[in-house]
Amino acid sequence: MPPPKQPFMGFGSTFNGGSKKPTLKPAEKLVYDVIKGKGDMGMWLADIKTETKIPQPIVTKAIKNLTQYNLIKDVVHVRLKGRKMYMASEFEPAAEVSGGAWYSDGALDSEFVETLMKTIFNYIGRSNYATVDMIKEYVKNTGIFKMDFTTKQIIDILYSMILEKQIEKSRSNGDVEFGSIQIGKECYRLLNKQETLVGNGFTSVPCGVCPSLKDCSPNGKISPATCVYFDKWLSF
Amino acid sequence: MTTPSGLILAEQIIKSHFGSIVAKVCNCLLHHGSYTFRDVIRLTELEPKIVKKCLIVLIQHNCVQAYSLSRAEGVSKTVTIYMVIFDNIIHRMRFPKFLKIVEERLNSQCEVLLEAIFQHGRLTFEQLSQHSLSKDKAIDLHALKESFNRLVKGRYIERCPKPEPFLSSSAEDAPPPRKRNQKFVLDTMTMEKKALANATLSDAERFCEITNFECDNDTLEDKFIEGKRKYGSHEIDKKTEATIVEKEVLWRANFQNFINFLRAKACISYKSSRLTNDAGVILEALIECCSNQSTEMEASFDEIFGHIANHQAHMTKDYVGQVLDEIGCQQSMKGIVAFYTIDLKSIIEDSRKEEMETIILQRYGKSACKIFRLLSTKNQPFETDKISDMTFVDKKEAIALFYKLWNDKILHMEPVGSTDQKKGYYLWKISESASSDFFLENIYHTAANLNQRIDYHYEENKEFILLSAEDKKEMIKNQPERCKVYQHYVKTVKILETSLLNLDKLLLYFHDF
Ligand code: SF4
Repeated sequence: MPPPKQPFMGFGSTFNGGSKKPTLKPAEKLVYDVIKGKGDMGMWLADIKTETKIPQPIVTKAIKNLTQYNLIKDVVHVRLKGRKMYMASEFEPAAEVSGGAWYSDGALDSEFVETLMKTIFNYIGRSNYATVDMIKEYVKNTGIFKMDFTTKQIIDILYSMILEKQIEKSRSNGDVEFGSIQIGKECYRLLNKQETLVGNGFTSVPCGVCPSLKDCSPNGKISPATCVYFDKWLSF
Repeated sequence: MTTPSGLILAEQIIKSHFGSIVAKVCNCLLHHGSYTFRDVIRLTELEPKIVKKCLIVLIQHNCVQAYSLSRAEGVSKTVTIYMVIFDNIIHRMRFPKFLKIVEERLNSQCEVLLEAIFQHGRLTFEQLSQHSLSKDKAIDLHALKESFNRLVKGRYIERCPKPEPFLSSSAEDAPPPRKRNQKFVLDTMTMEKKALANATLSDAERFCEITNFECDNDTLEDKFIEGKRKYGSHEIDKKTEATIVEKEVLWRANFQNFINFLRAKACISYKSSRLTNDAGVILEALIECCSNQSTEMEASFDEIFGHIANHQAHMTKDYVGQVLDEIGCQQSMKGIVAFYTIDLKSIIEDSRKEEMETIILQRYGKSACKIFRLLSTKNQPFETDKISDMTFVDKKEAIALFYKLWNDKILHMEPVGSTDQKKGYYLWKISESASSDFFLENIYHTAANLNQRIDYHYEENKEFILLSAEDKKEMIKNQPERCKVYQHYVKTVKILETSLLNLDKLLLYFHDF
């Protein structure tokens, strides 16, 4: 998990290199108070304007200064990335705002998730079978990840790997291949047949993956007789 | 159950097999349901003579079934209704598949007989023999009869159903005064089902092999005519009478048997590829031990093992038992005998789910496939954010995918709580009609597109294709590039036809199995 973008360093710690708390103008104080009042949920720019009833240019100026003083920060909302949202610096965005532990800057940190999955996949592959605890321990010991994962987070990622048909659940029956895993204990193993991108009778013809299928008809504007995808497919 | 594109495909098949006028009549029945002769004339605006001929062709080829209905309660007059049998039309594109099955499981003579039945729709054994004689004068008629009986015994062919079963329009069938239209549609559907059921002969009649048939073709015909002239129809001896009756029995293909066979084959190949080859062999043994026509397969362990031991000596009893469990068979004891049961429908269900996932994966990508898989395994609605969290699909991307899948009628959306977008939320699940609305419809649509493309290439090359062999040679001599164009056409059509056959595998999964 990447660290938060602007860690809170304490009032004035970075302001002009000094250590004094800045003196806020009344408008700045008002703006700061309403934003802080929203806690880890943050506040939309439009809402700040309505709530403080201060004219736009003054709000804009106040926000600019408060940001410079490191008293507030802008955050990206996971759903509405285009709109400006502010939060007092001492808060970390709530899961509803940030998207949760796997999100960074309002987007799923897919690279991070991928790396974690690959690490787990290789580990299960090497050990044939592994329990959640074994996986959690292994991930921790690799030192690749700067955060400690909870058991729930590991289970979540394993479920996602099941959905990707990378692994499947199993139960130890005490055979040698289960190693020291207790009989009856739930564990994970690699799936025999990994998902391949082989299509079927539908997806292997142009219409099967064609975005215009709905609008294509024998006598229509888009029609199989005049179809360029077919032309390309059948040009040999 | 069919879909709009299914009807288009059916019409295309009839058009290419019997021409556009028969297709017009068939289309009228396909789109409007069951009709009387008069109605068909009115709707198609064709001459009665022509409509009659078209209906005869469609009946001969098992695409239409007639049934009669009393006009009203207490009135003795009846009216004949014609209904189309959609499935039998679609089966027509499977003839090559069906022929191959018979060739592999029986012999090539059976295949030739079946081909003649496919060509003519319905034939008596006598007509079949004559047909075979016309192709090969030296044919052994005893062997032919044997092959014919093998087809009957294997249930690949059957005696034709009753031509026009009678349905009484009793009070309970009559539509009530209100909601007449809606009820009428329902009534017609139940009528059609009843008519089909009434037309069907009992199993004993359907698959009764021929025994009395005189096999000496030269003398048979003379004897038959002579017998009739000499004694009159009431005086002929029992054997001749039986021969006459048998001579008039019409036979046709039993499509359901082919579908059962293809279903079993699909299940075997699914288990072989998902588990091991041995699993396929063992499932096949279980199916072979069952003679029933349903999808429920049950056999005793000893029967299954005996069957396997004949072919695969290396498998031990323990191993076979273990694999039967892995396949998903239920074990039960009847007295001291262990039985194994499996419903092939459950295997088809798993397999169909995988086909759906493949389609989603290729059309909408990996994330959509994960979402689809989550919803289909959990089989319950989930909230937008929850799905995104469980599948590790970015929330914004998930919303865009939900919209696409919902728009294509794959997902069903249910708004919950406030209608205000910020406060309310949405629950998503796989739409109950996704299987027919999206998958089946698009597969039919694609099949119709492939068909149309085949027609297009045919039309483009028709002039050349229809030339006599000599004229063709002449043209190639004068225009050598013509030959290349023709070769390209042949290759193109081959690709399209192979694709159509592959696509049909999915139609079977989504419609017939
Ligand atoms: S015929 Fe061409 S345009 Fe029509 S659905 Fe198929 S690929 Fe798309």
